[in-house]
Amino acid sequence: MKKEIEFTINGERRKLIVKPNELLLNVIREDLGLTGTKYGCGTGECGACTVLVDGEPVVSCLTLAVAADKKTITTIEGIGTSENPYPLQLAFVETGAVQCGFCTPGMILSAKALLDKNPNPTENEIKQAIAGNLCRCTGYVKIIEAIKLAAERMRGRKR
Amino acid sequence: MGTRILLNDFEYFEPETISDAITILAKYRKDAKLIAGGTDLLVDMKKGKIKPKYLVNLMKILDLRYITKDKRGLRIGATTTFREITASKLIKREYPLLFEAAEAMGTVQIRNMATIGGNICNAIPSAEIPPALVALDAVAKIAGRRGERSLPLEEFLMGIGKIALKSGELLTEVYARSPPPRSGTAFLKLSRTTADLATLNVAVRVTLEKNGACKEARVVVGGGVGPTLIRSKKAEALLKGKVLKEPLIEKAAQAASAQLKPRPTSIRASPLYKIEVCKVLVKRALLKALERTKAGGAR
Repeated sequence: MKKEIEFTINGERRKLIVKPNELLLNVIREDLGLTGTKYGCGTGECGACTVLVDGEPVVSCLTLAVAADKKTITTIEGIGTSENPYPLQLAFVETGAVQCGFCTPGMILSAKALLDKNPNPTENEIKQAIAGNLCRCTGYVKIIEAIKLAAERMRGRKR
Repeated sequence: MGTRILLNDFEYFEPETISDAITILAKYRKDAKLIAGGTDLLVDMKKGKIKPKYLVNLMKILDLRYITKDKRGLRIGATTTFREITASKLIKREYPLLFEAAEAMGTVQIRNMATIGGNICNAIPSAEIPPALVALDAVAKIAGRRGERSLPLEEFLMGIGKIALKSGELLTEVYARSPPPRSGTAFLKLSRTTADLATLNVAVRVTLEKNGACKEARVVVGGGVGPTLIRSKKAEALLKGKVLKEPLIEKAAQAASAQLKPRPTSIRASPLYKIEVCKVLVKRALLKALERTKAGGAR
């Protein structure tokens, strides 16, 4: 039996009718056409499908769409555009923290959730925050640099 | 079997009270499966290992999600997430053992989703939080059609994927005893990466007499060292009544490691390695716990 759900995604309210076995990841990618969120392992280990639900990173490949009813969801499309990138996105590009790019959306959302709560994280706190996001290209060094750079700029802007 | 979609169809329920959940469970029995965070269950369902006809989501039951303290201990509702546990100032301050074990579990994403009850009921031997809870003499509270019952967590965990819940019952709460005065605790995890399941988990508590001798100890080892965690009563007996010095602590660590029964096919480390590393970790944990008895408030 299908269920009607309603959630806010990237600031937009959406009503959808979904089967109980639909996963949030597939609804985001296929029904809503937001393909920035990636399907990686499908078992919650790689973090490529990370989205923010009520501000907290979760793996959308293990989230039932019906359980996202009445929640607020943010995907990579919701935080910046090519014309107006989010500071983290800009810092990732400038630092060379993006190679193949597959992990980048999830990585940036995990980093955003960290910086929203902790604008001045230590290196260890950054590592813990992105421990659930696997990158097979960069070796993480540039990613950590990018997050530090973005944090610095975002703190400056608030002052 | 792929992991992109969930193949099996099921009927979905979102009860808002414990009694509604029990009614649904009683009606569909073995065909129904409870879901909380879903981080383990949905993986098994994707792989076709479990094919429930009815899925009962517990996350809308507000009465299952809380962290509160009473005179003798700490109550944690079954669907409290790991994130809520690590974010709790009360737990960080008064139950550092639980904080450390909860933080050692999974990744940020998994801690945001996974629940303490789900983690316990999934009963994988490498789980972090059960050894810590057993070191605090935790009790599992269970609700069913005939009312409520309680069981020490040690008895609740029966083996790999095996727990003491009967058909139609659900775990509602874990109750951890407050460490008595002059207690110190420690949790140590060894794993290949932070996100990985544990190669070994060690949770200990020591409680001292006024004269400094050990009044009571708990030594609990988890991480694929047997069908479920192992509480080493032999190590505890060695420590009890004695002044805790390094040679004695080493002897206790030896005793605990001698009780491990890792499977020869163990994926993350050989049995020999686990036994050796257990000696080191139990010793380190006991020394750390002992140090913390001196810290007063922080246990």
